[in-house]
Amino acid sequence: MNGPIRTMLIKGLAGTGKTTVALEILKAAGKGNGAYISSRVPQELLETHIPAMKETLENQEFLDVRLEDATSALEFVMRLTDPKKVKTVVFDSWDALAKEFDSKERLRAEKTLIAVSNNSGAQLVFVSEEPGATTIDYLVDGILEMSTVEEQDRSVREFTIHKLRGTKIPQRKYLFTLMDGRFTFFEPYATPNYSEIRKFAPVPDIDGAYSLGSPALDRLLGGMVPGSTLTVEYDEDVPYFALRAIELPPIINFLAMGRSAILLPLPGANTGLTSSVLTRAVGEGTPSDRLHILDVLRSSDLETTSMTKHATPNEIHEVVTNETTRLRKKSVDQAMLHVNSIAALENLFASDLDSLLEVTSQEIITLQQSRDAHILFLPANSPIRSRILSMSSSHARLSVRDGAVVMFGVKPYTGIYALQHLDDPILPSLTQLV
Amino acid sequence: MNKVLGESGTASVLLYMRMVDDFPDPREFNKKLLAIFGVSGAQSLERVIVKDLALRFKWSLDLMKIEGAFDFDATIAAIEKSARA
Repeated sequence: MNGPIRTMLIKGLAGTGKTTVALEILKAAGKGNGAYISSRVPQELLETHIPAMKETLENQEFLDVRLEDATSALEFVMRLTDPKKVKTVVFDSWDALAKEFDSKERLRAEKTLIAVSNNSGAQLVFVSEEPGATTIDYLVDGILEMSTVEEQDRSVREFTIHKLRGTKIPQRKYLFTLMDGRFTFFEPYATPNYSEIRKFAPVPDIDGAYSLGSPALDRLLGGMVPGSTLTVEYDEDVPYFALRAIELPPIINFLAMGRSAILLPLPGANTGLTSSVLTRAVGEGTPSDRLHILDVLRSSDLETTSMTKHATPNEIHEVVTNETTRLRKKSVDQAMLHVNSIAALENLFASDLDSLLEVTSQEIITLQQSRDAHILFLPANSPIRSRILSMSSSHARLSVRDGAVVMFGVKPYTGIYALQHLDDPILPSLTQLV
Repeated sequence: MNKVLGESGTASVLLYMRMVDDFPDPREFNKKLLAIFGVSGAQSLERVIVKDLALRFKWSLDLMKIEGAFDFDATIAAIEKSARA
């Protein structure tokens, strides 16, 4: 709240995060510059509900008006704002008092409050549980609506900016979380800056399972048991770089641990960039030594393996098997990672999906009998989706909501997380949406 | 003031101004209204108050120059003079 926004209405049903947002605004006002007028709960109880905001509540004036009438509450606002004592006043909730009025009287009381705050320069934040438009909607400078919505069977929090007078609104809806009692919202997914790649520190195996190379991914999915297949299903609007945040860390970790890997990249992947990223993360020499990137959609890649663009699924499978045998010998413990894009194979064998499915099944069965790990990237609209998922040991899902990339485990069942690149361009950061 | 601020708004303003008992001193009233609502807000309220008084006491609206820039002090002085006459 700055510039032209002097009065703000935060509305939404109970439990949608209105009070936490209002307290964040109060916190931003600075110590001693805000006041919280509560018509719902006493300070001690509010501090228990939102422990992360205890300090904010202690640093600002708290007025408990549960047993006061509307006149007294309005007088409190005048006292707080007239000597320019406070910069921000939160009214939580305004409804509890406004319901005492008929509609005309309510409008007059609201106009009085806004005129008083406008004159004093104070910011006024009204919290309301009335979902529909009320008189105050027309008077305030800004309206935020908090809500809980369903995303792939998971509940996520979302806020909508209905109005911000004098302010450009490039996007109206955003995802947010109340993790650790704090309000954090998510901007649309931003691609990582690969120029800031650091040398990768190998992540050891976890209780007999291979690490996914990222502490965040390991916490979510628990690593990969030897012989298992992890399927990462994604919607068509998931950005390529977000998929790469799941694809690269396990490969880098396998290589950094002295193991080998085979990658059939996603359609549109830049093999040169992938090699460059891997080289910088793992170190010179290693990628070409223990990694084979086979872009089945590139004729030049197929030619190096003596295949033509008319190769069959069985021929691809044979090449992969031969490469597996070659690379396995170079792996420190003969373990290998296979990362395959189903979309790339579907594009290549669109007219022969049955054969593709048959070969993929054979590959999964063979891998289950080995100590290898297998990651499949599966488009959500794949015609062979259900068959692939039925053969997978674990299943993670990626989708996009309000521009942010969200991820969760279907098998095993997990909470839902927002995927970003906060500290490292290679490793994903996952923030739980609660 | 009730018409603009509502009963609660008026009561809270008068309580805050400590002017709930007697008819307030107009100049003191004007000063306090200015502090709460600023020039524009105070003028609007005073215009409403004077208009209401004019209708109740059947004063001449011309006398109070309620059109154009509003001068509360001049209006009050005019009303006092008119009342004495």
